[in-house]
Amino acid sequence: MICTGCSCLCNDVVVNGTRIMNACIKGYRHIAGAKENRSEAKIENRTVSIDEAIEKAIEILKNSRNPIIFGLDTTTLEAQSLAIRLAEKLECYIDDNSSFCLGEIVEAIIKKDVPSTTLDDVRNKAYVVIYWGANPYTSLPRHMSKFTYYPRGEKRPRGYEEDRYLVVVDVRKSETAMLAKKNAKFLKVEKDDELVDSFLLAVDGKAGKFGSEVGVILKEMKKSDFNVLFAGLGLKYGISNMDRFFEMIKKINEKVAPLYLLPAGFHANMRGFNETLFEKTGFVNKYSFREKRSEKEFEFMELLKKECVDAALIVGTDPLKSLPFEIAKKFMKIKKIVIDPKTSLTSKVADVVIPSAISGVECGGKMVRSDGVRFKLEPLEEKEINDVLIFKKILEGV
Amino acid sequence: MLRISKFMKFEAEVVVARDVIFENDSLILVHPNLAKIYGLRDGNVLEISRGDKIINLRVKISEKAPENGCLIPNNIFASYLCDTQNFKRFKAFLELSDSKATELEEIIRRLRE
Repeated sequence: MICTGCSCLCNDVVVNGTRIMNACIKGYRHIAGAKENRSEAKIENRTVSIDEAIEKAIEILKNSRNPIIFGLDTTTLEAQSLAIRLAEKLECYIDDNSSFCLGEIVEAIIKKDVPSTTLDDVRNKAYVVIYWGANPYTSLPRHMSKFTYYPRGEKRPRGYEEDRYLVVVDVRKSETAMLAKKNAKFLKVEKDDELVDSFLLAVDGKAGKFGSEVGVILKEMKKSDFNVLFAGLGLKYGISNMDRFFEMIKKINEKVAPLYLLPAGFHANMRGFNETLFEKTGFVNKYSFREKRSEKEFEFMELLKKECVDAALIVGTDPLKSLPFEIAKKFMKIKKIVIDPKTSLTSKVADVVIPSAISGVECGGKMVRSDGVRFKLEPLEEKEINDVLIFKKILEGV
Repeated sequence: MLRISKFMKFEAEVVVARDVIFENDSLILVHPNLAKIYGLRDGNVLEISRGDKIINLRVKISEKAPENGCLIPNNIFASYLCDTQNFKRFKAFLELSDSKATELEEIIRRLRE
């Protein structure tokens, strides 16, 4: 089966009865723990039937003046398309976690503003592998062993022992940084901007704060025609000007050696949402169907901050866990509908909870890996109630 | 035994990290260097304050925390302390506390207020 535990979408996971093989700890928990902590259909904390919960959700959406649909990064492309159609019908806002995750990076890649590649090509060809503000050891446990550093590829037959050069950039010595020993470098940064500046200066033959380290990395890049940089959330929050980072990537490509950019990973189908919305609207997230444009002010967090929305349909995500307190307090004041197979903090405080199926485990469909490669899911079972069915019913109702 | 550190309040950088073990626990990972300076041990409770927000988290000494700083898993406790400008990295004041670690229900109660 294809594991939907993270955006690696590992396609070699085998489930034989109770045995789960080839999965990482995250994938194992995702599949083996599928039956745990399940959500129930609820209206104002009172257990109801699924149909009643859907009816109540329709009522809230119909009565709302400014609703938003948010989340959708763990569901299938089919459900995402229906959610976008619902947002269009309601003329409302739609956004996903990418607006405060790696959306800017995915957008630049989709628009071909920066060169990107696939994880399969990374496995076969990449020499210098940079993880910047990412800790795949815990967030994407098979990333390094299946795609980037450890495997032997077509042009990298000696794998990490001789054919790869690992660079880890972080504000702390993460587990991944601890692996940067042989043919590797760990760069501890206080301000990510300083490292971007150092790369930009070094490309022009000048020395910045990290002059010597950057010099060594660029020298290693020159040895190959295929290098890759994985950008993580640490980069997103550590950098003040993302355009300057993209300029750095372009300059290295022009003056030093080919360097491809990939997001280091996120929810299983976040890229799927970005691509689906992009195909429909030309934008990857924070979109208003009423205003027919995407703006910073249409981000889920900004809309809550400015109290611009009165109801939220939350799909397969748990914003209450991540929203800053002041914004979370405002989120508590609006009507909340949650579609989720699992109980979450948000579902505990929601007005309506609609239980669903876990995409890839209990229902099929398609998803997009973090590098843009599409996969058809091979679920272990097909549950009758899933996100697609729920969205179809809501669409009919509104 | 009297611990001088018990009366010390100090400022440290806090980094919020995803996919850390014990993600949902009220824990703060403190780097051994910082723990040594302030005499912190595993299981101590630290009062963490930022502006008018205060929570108590249990200490776990770990090299995974930034040097001379701390790490909080990406959870509601971290979100309670952060703001939109300093979403995943901020400075906070830390002080040993005799109280219990803050529970999830307490944060939800404060959210509902």
